[in-house]
Amino acid sequence: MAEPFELYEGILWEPGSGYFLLDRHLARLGASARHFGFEVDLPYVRAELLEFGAELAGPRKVRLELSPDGGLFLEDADVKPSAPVRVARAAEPVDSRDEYLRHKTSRRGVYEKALAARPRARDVLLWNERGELTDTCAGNVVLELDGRRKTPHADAGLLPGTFRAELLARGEIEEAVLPVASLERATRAWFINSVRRWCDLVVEPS
Amino acid sequence: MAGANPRVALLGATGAVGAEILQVLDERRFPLRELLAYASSDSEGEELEFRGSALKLRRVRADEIAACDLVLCAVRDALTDLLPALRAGRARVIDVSGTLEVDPSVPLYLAGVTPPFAASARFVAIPRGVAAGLGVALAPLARAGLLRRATAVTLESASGAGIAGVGELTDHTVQVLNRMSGERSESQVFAQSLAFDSLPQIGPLDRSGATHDELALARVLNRLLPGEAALELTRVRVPTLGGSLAVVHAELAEPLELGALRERLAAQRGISLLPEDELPTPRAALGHDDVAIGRLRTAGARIAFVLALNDLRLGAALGVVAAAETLLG
Repeated sequence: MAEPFELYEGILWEPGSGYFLLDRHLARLGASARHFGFEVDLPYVRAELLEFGAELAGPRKVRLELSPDGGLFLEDADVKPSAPVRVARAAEPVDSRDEYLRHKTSRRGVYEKALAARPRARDVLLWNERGELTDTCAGNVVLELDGRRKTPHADAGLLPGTFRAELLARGEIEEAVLPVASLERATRAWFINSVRRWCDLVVEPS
Repeated sequence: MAGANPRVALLGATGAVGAEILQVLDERRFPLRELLAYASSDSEGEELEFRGSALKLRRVRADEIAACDLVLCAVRDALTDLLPALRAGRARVIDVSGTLEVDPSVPLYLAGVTPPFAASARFVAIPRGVAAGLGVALAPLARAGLLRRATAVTLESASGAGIAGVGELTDHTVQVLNRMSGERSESQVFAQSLAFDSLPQIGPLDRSGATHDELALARVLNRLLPGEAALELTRVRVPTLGGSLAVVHAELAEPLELGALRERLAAQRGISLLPEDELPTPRAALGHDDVAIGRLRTAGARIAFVLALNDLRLGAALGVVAAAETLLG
């Protein structure tokens, strides 16, 4: 029998504006809960988050953990500065059909394996069995190609990040199949996620 | 809003609340350019009757709904998926699903209790079911700075769990009456069969021991009622088909004579104070749009009463349509 796991979300809370992209985080949590058959009461989760946020002072990353029976755990942590994110290219491809790549869960074997293969790297740039870029262990990727900002297509096997979804909805980025070789052509590269937003991405030699 | 004839989307059109909203829209002759009715994908293409015409049920599509002038949301969880598209679009949203009721950035509207919301509001939440009844009943005491503590036990009908809840209660009751006890079909809606029984837990338990629904009720009442009265709430599902009761005991800041209490309650919009020989019952409440209050007692600064309400109308459809009329201007 498979080991139990939890769903989780990491949500930026800021004074004045509250949670960043809360609706998208809850929609994604609800979709993952439906996919894996977790119990979830989304209005209750929203209410608990709002109550938790009312006690916060400075910018915080709020981590939400949902267990299969609907149990909820919240905690907050410091927000890392938006400095350039240095990554190493993964040693091996991920399997684009792996459902755990598409949902934010505590089952992070793929990421742990990729990080273990690059012990000196703090994060790893993942790619799939077709040689297409996917994402990193902590966020999505955007490349500037021919003057347009492109992010790996969801079919590549990646976590559909909430900031990525927001940028797609606003038309600021577009999805594309991005071969690993796109990195060489890119005039600029970014790491994005909903807590750190835009960070320059630096791919270090393996 | 598109002039006086909006294009309106109703989410949850086949549910108990949705059906009541359709009824109230019709009763109030709410002006409509077009009404789009949404239900689960299983019902797509089926038809409802509205104002003598067939209304075809649609599958939820975020872009189509976001392009409407007004969205009425009467189904739990649907709104969460739609909010990103709705916030980016132009539609105005009235939520009676519970999704936005505790969001401090969204006005909570209960006629006669909350201040009017700005007609320019994009999102409005409506307190649901017994929250509306308790809000109306406790408001005159809270507004006067009298309410210190309220303890309420709610006795809520199967209709609070929607048409499926009513169906399950009816089926199980028939099975018991047909001497099929022990052969009752499995409960799908309630934790166990509600027929000839009562279930003192509505919703899943939180780590505090309260249920999610009890916490939601307390949070909504905290938004509705001025002051910081302590609230102790227990919600019980009872085997009635419609209408709900709440038994309320309250501690006031100062003693209040029975006559003075009656005066305060009678002056509140939305309360129908019953004569001493008349009982507030769920069934009687179904015929009225007010909160019926009876069994009043006072003992110094302690008071008690029982309220009954039609939770689908006062605690849902009337608020939704009244809010829609405000937004329509």
